[in-house]
Amino acid sequence: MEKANKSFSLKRILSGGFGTVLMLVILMLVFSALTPLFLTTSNLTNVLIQSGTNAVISVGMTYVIISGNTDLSVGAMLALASCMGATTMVDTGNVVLGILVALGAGIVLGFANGVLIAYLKFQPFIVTLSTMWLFRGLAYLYTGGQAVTGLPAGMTSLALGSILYIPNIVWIIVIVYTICYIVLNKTTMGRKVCAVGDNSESARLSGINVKRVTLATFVLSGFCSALSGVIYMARLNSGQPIAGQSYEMYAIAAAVIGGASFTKGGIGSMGGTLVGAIFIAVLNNGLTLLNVNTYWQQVCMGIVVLLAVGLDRFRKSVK
Amino acid sequence: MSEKILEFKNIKKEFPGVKALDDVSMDFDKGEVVALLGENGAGKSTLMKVLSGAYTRDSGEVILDGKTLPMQYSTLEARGFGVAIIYQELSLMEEMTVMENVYITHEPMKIKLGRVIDYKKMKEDTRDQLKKLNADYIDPLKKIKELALPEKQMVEIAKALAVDCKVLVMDEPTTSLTWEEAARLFDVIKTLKEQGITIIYISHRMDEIFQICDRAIVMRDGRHVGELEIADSTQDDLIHMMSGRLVDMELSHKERKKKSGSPILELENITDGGFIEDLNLQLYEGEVLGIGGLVGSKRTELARMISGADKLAGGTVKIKGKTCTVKDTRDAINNKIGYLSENRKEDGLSLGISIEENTVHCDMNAVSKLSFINWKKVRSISEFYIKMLKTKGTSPTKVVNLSGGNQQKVAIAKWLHAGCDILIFDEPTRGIDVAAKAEIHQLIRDFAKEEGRAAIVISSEVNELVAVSDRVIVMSKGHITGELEGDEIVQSNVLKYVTTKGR
Repeated sequence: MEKANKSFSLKRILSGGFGTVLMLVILMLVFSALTPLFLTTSNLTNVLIQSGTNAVISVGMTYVIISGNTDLSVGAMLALASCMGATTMVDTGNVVLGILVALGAGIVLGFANGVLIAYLKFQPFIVTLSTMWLFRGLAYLYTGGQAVTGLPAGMTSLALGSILYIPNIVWIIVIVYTICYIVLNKTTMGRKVCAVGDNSESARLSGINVKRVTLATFVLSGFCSALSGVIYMARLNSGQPIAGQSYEMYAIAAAVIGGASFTKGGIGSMGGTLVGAIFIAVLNNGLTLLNVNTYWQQVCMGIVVLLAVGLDRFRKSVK
Repeated sequence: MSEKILEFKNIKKEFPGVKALDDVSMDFDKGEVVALLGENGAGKSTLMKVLSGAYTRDSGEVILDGKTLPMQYSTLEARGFGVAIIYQELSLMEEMTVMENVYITHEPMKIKLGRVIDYKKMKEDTRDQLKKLNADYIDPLKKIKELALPEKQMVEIAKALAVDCKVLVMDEPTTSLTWEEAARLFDVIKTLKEQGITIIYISHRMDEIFQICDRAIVMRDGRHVGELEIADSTQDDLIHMMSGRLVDMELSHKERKKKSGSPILELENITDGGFIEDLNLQLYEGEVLGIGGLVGSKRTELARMISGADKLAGGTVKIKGKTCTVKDTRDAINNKIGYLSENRKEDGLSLGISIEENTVHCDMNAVSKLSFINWKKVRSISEFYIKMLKTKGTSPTKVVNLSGGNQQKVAIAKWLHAGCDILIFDEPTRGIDVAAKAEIHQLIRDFAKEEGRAAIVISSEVNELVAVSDRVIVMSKGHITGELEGDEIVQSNVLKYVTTKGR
């Protein structure tokens, strides 16, 4: 009797939105027990900074997934946009202009994806699979396969600096998530994204411009990839055409760990995705501190995503 | 003299909240063609699904050829028993060949153990089967997608016959056929009958029933309510048997508004590039216009075109005398035309989203400022409609967790909130219990009564048309074939028009 009661309450905890947070807490407790290096302010700050690129990309990815699509080209957009930004910086010496070029490039690339998918009715998976190669190839061609180095000093201070004792990268994460949280939950645009993802035909018959909404999610994804590219560029102090390889998978993983459904649109949250992105960063950080080799890290990553998906199914079965 | 092939004894089947089959008993003779009649939701298809194994009956017996069938069996097993069903939307594999479809799950084997298919035998057998139907002009090696609809139907029949078929159910087989094609199908039915196959024929078309059936069984509300020998009855007898009830739902003639004033919506020479051609129709202020017709009458297609859901191929739409070009649904809503879809699950509602959000989906601008949503306002609007429609659920409840009737109420609330003057309700009470039906009918009438408004109700249920309409038109294959006004609108008249007037 008592046992049944206990499992019921456990079920309830897991079935709520706290499932992912609980997993993160458990993971952190495990790492703290295994190594004294883990639970220190400097390491935790480091984890947040490390999660930065993935966390920012995952924002756009979450919107795309909620609207019922997927974007495999985020990593390639990151590379191409950051290389264009880096070249501009090297040529002009102007950091702000370089960042604007990178972000603008991201918007244009996302727009291209969106037009193909929303207006020309191409399959999102196939379109972004193709543009993943296309953008990546362009990044190599653009840079001649070489890293773009010699960025102005302002770039490094962007990565290393902090405002009010909080690192700049963390500020970026906080701002992006706050804005996108508000847009998703408080504005008509965000609710339209959910409506389109839940049932696009019903949304269309309700007078929602499904094409425009879909396009917007891909533009956002392009923008977030480029912003992530700026962070990447700042941390490495160079523009890398090989940057962001397989980042699309980490972004999808963050969104899915955070409760978004890869098969059914309309489900997902900003908070969940943030926890998902931090979760991945914690996992990688902890395993590295424990000197687990990278092969085993990949095995762990696989198991964790499977667990997250399992939790998702469990959540649905409880409801 | 005649030999019973199939018997249903006291079949009961309940779905949550609905008695779909309530103690149904009936029997069929060998080599008989029986029409099974009844409105949507009368239980015909539930009964046929019980027979085919798609549903499991709660209680009762199904006896086929002297053997009682087990309580639970799969559709595949049913095929083995000798039961075949041909649905309206044919269930063939479009990308596979005729012969593969005919022998699917019963492929002749070259080597039994390795499941190696004997294609040569399959081809010959398929040809034999088609020959029996005088349809040997169909090449067994052709892909289904290359065939015309009547040919596909022949393949379906051949598929049924390939596995020793005793009872063949045909669900409205002629809806998409021309008259000549239908005549050819009737010849095939006669041949099958001579071979001793029993045919259960589901249709609403009186002329067909009188042409090919021996007997008619009428169902209503999950019960068997009567049967007639076709040879000793007239069409009026049958219509009388189908319509005899629900007088309480009929409006008194006094309540029906005569069409007057200038039309609020005018359709001129509307064309969809297919069945609908040069259709003209006026909707007058304050009236509820009912549109009756059978499946395939293209009523829904018409509604979807004028509400921007599908492209209008030709013709003009005038609203309050002004010509409007409706590009998409947004345009339609801006022009104050709304369309409540007939499939709430497929395209009527966002099931994973809350009641309150669904309620405001058509007009989010009304609840937002600078695109920021005022959730308090959303809540109060939602509460207003929940109270008004007596919806069972709270504002944050996800629509997926509601019953069909309550989901329908949310869909109606959504369109009431859209601020339209002209609303087209497509099957507004499908799957809703009788009490709620009356409420929704009242709601539609109240909506139309307000100044500058009118409503169109598309319904396959004759008594619904009688209950809500000020005027009724009947459509058949894209054309308006009849119009009823005032005291002409009684069940038997509407039913007569719907079932017999055709082209």
